[in-house]
Amino acid sequence: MPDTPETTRLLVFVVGGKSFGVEVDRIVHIMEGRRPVRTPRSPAHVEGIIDHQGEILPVINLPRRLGAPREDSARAHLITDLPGRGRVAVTVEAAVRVIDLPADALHKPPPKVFGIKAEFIRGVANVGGRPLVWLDLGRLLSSPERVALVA
Amino acid sequence: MRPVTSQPKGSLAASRASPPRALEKVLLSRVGEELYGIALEGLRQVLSTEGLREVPGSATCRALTAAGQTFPVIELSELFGFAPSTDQAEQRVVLIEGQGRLLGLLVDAVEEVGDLDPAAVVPFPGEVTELDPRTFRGLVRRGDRIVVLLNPDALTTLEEVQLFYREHA
Repeated sequence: MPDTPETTRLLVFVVGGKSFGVEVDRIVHIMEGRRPVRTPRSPAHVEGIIDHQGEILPVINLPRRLGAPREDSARAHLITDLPGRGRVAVTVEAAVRVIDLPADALHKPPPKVFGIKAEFIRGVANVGGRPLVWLDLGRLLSSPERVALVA
Repeated sequence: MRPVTSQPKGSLAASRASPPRALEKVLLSRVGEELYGIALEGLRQVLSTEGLREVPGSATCRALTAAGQTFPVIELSELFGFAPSTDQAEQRVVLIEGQGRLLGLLVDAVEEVGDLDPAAVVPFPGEVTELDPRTFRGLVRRGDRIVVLLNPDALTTLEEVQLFYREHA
């Protein structure tokens, strides 16, 4: 057998009509059809809290965090375990599929992609003729910096 | 010495008597779609909204007089940034006492009195609110819902409440 090329396994999801990915290793669970409990005077990108198998987690609305111009009604909550942040539920418009990207398909991002600074991006790829942005969710969700996703 | 045989986990757990737990009683009220709990210890009375009046110059604070005492009333949906109640007939004023002061909380509905196991209360995560997190005693699960427990001592020290008592001393 030849050497297996190094691949990165990403969960692909949609926000603002654009495709994003996050390492599958960081995803603990995907929950669908659950309504978070809204919390009093929540910051703009916080949707509330949710019970995940007995643990109450903050819910971060990723479309709002990314400043997406619109919010889709189809929703999923990604239960993620992020370095330096612990477990948190992340709302996305839809979790699509898992893909394996070979190292040579991943590229260094330009200074900004879709209006998102490169410091929040781990790589970009072209998947089926469409751009895919591999997000650094841990860094994005622990930074107070505003992001405005390009429509 | 090490035990040679070990019992199955299930029987170990079953043989361990569960310690007696002191349960608290809490009043559960609805604000928006969510449940809020107040320990009966800090609760004085549940009143109708009859006689509730505006306080000049304050958007969130109103006033009510009951049994010869006048106290401020905070509309929780307004304080929390939720939409105002659509069914005013269900609204109640939950009168609480904290730090020696009376405070009315205008809730969308009073649901029931439930048991609370204090050991089951988990901290309220500060990052999910822009209010002082001490306003909330913690969170507790109830069936498939999550109840936010309120802290009367912190609520009665809200700026609006202090202002009311300074002006109506």
